[in-house]
Amino acid sequence: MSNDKMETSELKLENISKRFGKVTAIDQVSLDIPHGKLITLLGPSGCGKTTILRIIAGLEIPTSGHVFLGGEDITELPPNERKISMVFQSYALFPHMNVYENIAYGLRVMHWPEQKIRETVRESLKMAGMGGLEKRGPSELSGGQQQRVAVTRSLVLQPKVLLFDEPLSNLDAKLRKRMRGEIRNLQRDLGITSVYVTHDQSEALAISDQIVVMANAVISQVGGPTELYKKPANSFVADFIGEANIVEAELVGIEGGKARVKVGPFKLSVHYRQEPDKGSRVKLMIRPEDIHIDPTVKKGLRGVVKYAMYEGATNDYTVETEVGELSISDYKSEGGFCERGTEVFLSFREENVFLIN
Amino acid sequence: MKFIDLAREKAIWAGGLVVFLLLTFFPFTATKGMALALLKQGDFSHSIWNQLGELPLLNLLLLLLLLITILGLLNLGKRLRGKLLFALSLSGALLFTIQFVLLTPEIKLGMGSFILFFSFLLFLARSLSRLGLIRGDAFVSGSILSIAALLVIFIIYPLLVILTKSFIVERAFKPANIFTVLIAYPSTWRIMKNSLLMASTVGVFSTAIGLAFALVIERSRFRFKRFLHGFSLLPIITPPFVIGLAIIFMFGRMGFFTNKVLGIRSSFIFGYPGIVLAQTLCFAPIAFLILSGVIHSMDTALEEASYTLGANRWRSFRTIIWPLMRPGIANAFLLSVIESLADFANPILLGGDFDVLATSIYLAIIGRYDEVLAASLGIVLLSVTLTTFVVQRYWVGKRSYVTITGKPSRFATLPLPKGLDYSLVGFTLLWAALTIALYGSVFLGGFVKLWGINNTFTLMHYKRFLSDGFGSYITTLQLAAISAPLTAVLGLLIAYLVSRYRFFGRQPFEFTSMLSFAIPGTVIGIGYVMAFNTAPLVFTGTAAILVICFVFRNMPVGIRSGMAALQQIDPALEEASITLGASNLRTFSKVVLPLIRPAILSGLIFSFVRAMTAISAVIFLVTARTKLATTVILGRIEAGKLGLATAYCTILIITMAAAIVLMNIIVKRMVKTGKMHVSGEEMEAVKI
Repeated sequence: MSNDKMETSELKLENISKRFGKVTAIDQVSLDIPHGKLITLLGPSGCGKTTILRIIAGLEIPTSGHVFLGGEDITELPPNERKISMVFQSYALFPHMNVYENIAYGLRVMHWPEQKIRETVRESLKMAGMGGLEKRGPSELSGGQQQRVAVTRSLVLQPKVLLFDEPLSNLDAKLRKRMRGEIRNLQRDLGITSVYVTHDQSEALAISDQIVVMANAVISQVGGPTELYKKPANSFVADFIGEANIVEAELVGIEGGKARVKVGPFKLSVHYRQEPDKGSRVKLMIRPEDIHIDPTVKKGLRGVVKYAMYEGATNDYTVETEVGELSISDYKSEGGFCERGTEVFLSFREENVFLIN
Repeated sequence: MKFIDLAREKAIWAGGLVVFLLLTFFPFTATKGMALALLKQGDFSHSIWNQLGELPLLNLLLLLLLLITILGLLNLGKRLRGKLLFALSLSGALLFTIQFVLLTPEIKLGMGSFILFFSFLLFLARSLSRLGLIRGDAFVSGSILSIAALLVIFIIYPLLVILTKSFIVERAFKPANIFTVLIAYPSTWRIMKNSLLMASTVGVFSTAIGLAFALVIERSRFRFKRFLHGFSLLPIITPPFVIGLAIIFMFGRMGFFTNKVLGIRSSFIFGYPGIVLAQTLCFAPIAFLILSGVIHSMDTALEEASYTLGANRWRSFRTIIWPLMRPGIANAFLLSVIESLADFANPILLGGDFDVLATSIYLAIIGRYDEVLAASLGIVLLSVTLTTFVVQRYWVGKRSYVTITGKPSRFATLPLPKGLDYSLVGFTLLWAALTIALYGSVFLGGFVKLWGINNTFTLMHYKRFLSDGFGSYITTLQLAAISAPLTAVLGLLIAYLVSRYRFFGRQPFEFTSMLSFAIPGTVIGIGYVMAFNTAPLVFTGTAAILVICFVFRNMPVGIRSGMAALQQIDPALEEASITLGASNLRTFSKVVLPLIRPAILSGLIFSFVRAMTAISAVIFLVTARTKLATTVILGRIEAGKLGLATAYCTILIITMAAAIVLMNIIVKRMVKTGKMHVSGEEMEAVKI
């Protein structure tokens, strides 16, 4: 594959809006999805992410705007002529067909010879680690197996784009982690352009090349997982991706590409996305794992433990301080477990504190 | 994959050519009223090509069709062709309507003209789907447009004809004419009073009895309550007149109970008491079906919550169950009222001097041949049933607390308060005994020479049936067998379109398709007689009109069972099929149809049985050549041959029971062999 092709966007949304009656589900959304990449649409329920997916699939027609696939306008093309496949939240395996018939369904629509269909289905089932299950009905499969059949059923058609609508939300936590690894590997190996909808931010971080965070029918931020986590564009993204403490601070000055701010007893030098206006109040994002908690040092930001929870790998706290309530994840627990009401002292990992405009 | 490149469109040019071919062979106009006449051997004198000189507009219509065909052959972009096709086909359909409805309504249309009109509609549908105006492909838009056209022709148009009969006097629009007609007819007031009195009494009794049965079957401790469940099946397979005959046998002048037990000779049963008893027996089971559904889906956790909050059984019943049931009760009441008003068989048999709207309409047509009076009475009846229907559907329907998605906790059903339980069981057993006695009397009535007078055993009625009823029996079977699959498919298709697609005019589309439920059979009957006896559409006197009448009258049943089944199916299955490249037609036939097979079967059973037992509408439509079982039975009753009528009824009941059992066996076998996946609820739906 040439480098040139990698750069071109396979799927492109241009000023897409969708209204259902008076409700605006999507408002002027534009998006470029590069060839071979996995893009996640992430957001709370009702933010419009599934509607975007359905518009790409052709199951909804946008009120305005255009969808391009490989440079061609497919906005009004019926879904069955699009070469775009979709994996549904409920898997949507046909209950009256067995595994073989489910996977063969799309191939039969394309009038493949039955012999070739048989080989393809057998081959792909073997690849999915499900050889020999051809005759099983969907209800006789485990959740993970159903999921694999659903993905295989879409993949055998060699679609140009593969869509995932919250495909793991019906699985238990452990299986979910395993399946997202499987999906990610498969997508990379095949180099298939994919759009993945989820409301689970950890899933999005784990699986995506790019994440599109959506809120209230518009895009909040687009970026890679690390970028979104470390440098959120606004407090919504900061809060939605992982957990975040948003703390007000006083801007002292700009120095060497960093902002000098005053928060509580600390003077910090922090990164920012856009240079803030001078003399204004600013907001800082501090991740719970970037706060160090210690009951003994007696220096830093003083606080009192309000909630204390033992979570196994971490001790989680909510601490009341002069800058507000702070959530803290203490991984090392060097100071031991601090009970409710304990007086503690906090310090921030300065290089990870980020200024939000 | 080709997206934007220019191409020909085979469906259009090939379709156009086929239409030209069909127009050559099928008569464009009808002779002797045979609208559906097919090919006439070697006689093309009625094909469209011989009519061109007489109707200038026909040339234009054919030109439009030619242009459409050429459009399919041109290499054009999809959008441009869509727009052109839209313009051409729409003007074709409109011109056709203008020509044959407004300009020359006196021409009797034949098969060819239907082909021409529906081909324009289908081309229009294709353009609509190409332009994205109807979501979905040509199959969906084509179905929507064709069904809409059929609904207009076979439901709206007959109603309009009835209205015009009454509102238009000598080509002038005079809506007040209906009052003039009604006031001039001396019995109007009495008839209306009788009808309302009858309907409201029957509504109350049916609902109360249905409620008693529903409570017993769903919530009683009574061990043999299953036996009472069969009660729900009986009226469905009961031909009209059976209950009426039974009541005459039991309570009439020579009735077993009145004469043999009480020793009186009186005709008191003819009139109000007889009708109310008969209709209550007929319609209480319908109320029962509605109410048992309501009680069945009621979440017992609500009651349990009430107990844990300290309320006792009686208080919980009064404050929780009863209020939750109220919308269902209103529903059952209103439906019984509609059925009672629409009922023709019982009043004609037991009415005596107590005439009601449905029978008066019949007598106005058959006895006085007064179309205007019949139409005016029809409008009165229609407005009462329609109002009830609208109230039931939009007012009560919205107040229902029971949601379909609600998951009832079925761990334990909480029994009724003891006193209530025992009295209800006692009452329902009595009622069941009465029902059994009545049906038994009908069965026995076919085997005695003359009920009450000469009770010697005989097979003469059944022998007579072979010579005097067998022909109509076969006709009825044939017509029911033809109309049942049509009804089921059309009903399912409508249910599918309405529940899965959003399109312009969806609500009137749905309302109209369910409307025929609220139109009393007699009204539809006179509507069809008046509408399809004259040009442009002539169907009367044919078997086709009977099939059409069955299909459009029984369609709501198919729609209901289709809707209920579709609600159980995840729409994602259809979307999955479509994103896997399948067309909507393929999706419908390979995914939707197999999954709702139980609904198809129950739709089939219902429409078959309803066609077998129809009387009120078809009584106006039968001819000497197309006699139906029910009309023959009515004729025999009027001729005083009760034994023969009874024998015929028994044979009909056995036929229908056999049909239902057969269907149930098929369903069970399909489930067993894994060809079908059904939930328990769907099985229930098939059983009833």
